[in-house]
Amino acid sequence: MYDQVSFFKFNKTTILVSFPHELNEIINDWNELRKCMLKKMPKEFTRDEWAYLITFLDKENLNGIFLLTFGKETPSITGKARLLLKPLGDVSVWLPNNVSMLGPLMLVLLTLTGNNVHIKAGTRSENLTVIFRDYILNNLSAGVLRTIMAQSITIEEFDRNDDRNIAMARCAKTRIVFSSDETAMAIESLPHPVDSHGIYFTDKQSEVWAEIDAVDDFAVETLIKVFTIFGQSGCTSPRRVILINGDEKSAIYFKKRIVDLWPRDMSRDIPQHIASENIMCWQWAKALGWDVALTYNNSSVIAAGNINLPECKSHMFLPIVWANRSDLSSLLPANIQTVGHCLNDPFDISWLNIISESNVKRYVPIRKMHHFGPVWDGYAFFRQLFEEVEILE
Amino acid sequence: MNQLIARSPYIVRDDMQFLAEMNVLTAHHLKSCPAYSKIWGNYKESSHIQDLPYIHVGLFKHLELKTDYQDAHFRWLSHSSSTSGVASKIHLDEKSGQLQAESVYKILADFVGVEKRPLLIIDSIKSLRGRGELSARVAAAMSLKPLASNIYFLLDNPTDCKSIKWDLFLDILKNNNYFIVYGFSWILWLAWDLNHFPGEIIKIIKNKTFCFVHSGGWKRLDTIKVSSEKFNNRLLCNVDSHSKVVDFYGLVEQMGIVYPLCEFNARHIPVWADVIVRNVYTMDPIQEGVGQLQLMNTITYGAPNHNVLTEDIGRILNGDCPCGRKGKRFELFGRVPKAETRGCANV
Repeated sequence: MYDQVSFFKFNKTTILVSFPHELNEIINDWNELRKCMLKKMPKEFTRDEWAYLITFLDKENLNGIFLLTFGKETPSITGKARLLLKPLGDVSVWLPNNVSMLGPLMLVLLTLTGNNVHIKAGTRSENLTVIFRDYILNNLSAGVLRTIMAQSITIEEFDRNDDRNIAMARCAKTRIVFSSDETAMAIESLPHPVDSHGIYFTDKQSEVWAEIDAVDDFAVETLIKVFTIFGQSGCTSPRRVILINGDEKSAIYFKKRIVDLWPRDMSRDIPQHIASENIMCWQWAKALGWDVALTYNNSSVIAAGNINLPECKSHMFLPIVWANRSDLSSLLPANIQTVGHCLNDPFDISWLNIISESNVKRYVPIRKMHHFGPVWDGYAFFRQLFEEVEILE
Repeated sequence: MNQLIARSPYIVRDDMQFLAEMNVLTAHHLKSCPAYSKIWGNYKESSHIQDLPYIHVGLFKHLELKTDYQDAHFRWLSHSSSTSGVASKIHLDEKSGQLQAESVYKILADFVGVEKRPLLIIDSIKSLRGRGELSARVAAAMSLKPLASNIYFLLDNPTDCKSIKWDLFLDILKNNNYFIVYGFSWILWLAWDLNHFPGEIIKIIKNKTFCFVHSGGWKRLDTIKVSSEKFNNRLLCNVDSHSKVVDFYGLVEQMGIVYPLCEFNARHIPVWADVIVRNVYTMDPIQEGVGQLQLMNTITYGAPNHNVLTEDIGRILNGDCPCGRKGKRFELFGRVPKAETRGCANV
């Protein structure tokens, strides 16, 4: 049974959320760990990744997950209780191979649901989820979070043909899958309980919309920072920048600003094979007709050109194109996820109309393109990990 | 034009002549290869070898780089499978083919000898089939053709290194005393395993002289901790003492030029080729130290692979080589180190 109940005020009613542990204790334990993280970092993480994780574990951010999902926490029932939520049951998570922070971030979120969690990590990449779990166990003294990590979370590495995939699907009330469409379909076809459900985060891509007069140096630097985290390899990475109502001249100017502002004091060089690939990409883009430049230390390839030019499939290739505002919807890729905006008035109703008529799942400032949260790809997936009991007078 | 190929490969270099031939060749490609021209359209004749415009080796996987000059006759379109799974598209014209055959003959003859012998290829004839396609390993094997009296493919199955056609092998052994054996390093290591050789073969090879030639790199051998010494010992342990092993380096994107390893661990550069080492991050030439290798030659007309920036790293060796070969030489270290790229999308 779940002894701990938290109360959340939503309009004039109260939502009760029942947990097997005291929620605030878990959040406090994360906060304790955070202090340790400021001093000691596992070598497998990059500094950027570790810094993001520390920011994510900020108490305010973790409380914000509940605020967004259930409303404001209150000490007791205020008004009428309408809903009682309790952990739905076992959650199985399939992570992709080249994933970076998704595993650790999911781990954090899932500890806040009270469910038992089974995570399958890829076999061909560094498993940051296990490394982070071990870090927690090695650095956190006894407490709720440590108990959850030791008793309620399992993380394993195996490939797609392993029988443990079947076991994971069979035991779970919720299947969360980050993968290609094909893998998602394969997991969906595994035997699973009738009353279970699947949440599938399949291949997505993102882009930036910018109005040239809204772009100052800070915005360019932010774009550079966001792009350099994953290059083209993240579903939230800007695959291209669209200059709204721009032209060739403005695109070339924007490209030059990026090249000029590209940082020269990066604490580490990019991998050698990426620098080499960028030489290849630079030549490829030139041959395709792009106006193209390499940034400092061959660390990326910035190109300006017509939106109809073929793109180069390369890790650090960032094309700057232009389009009319009225054409934006039709130019979006079918699997669009995030639009990072740098607009004079992003909340003007005309922008929101364009978003509402599209498949866009997230419309955020450029600096928040990679931010992960309880709502993802159009799913309020965090809330879906709870069973909702209706309470009426 | 093409004076250098007429010379011996390892004599004192004539850099002025090399530059002159490369400038003419570069102009030829700029004129007749649209993609090369788009990339290097503003290029003017160079007064330094290091300024000659190159093509990154990876570009052959993405673009059609073909120099369709007047009277050109293209023989093959070569798709070479590589470890990345993406194929390079290499156009080879007849004129270059002739020059490349001459080049390989001169280079390898210096290491292997000029006497023609049966060439035993540790691969399957099936690797040759497929219209216009040429795998990297068969391309490498066929570069030895000018030194062969006959060519035999010893494997029955191209994917099974143990599928040696023993009857054929025995028959060839009985009728000859000197052989060239070629295989990709990894395949040769797996195939030439005396534990699986029939007794009759083991007995007969003891008195036969083999020149084992291999290429393809050590990446897979490194993973199972096979050193070059261990590799050579396996090949030479049960054959005539005059047998030897020659390890050569070359790119399918630059057929016709191979770089055999001399007995002092240097790879010598023939006078009709050159190698530049560049800083990976700035592309500045490096005189001393390790960097990315750029390979050049004066004998390629059908595509601008006369000047290729590779994905391999190495360094130029200074001074004279004790082996006696003159000219420039380098040391190869392998591929540019590859780090994991993280994200969650397929790029």
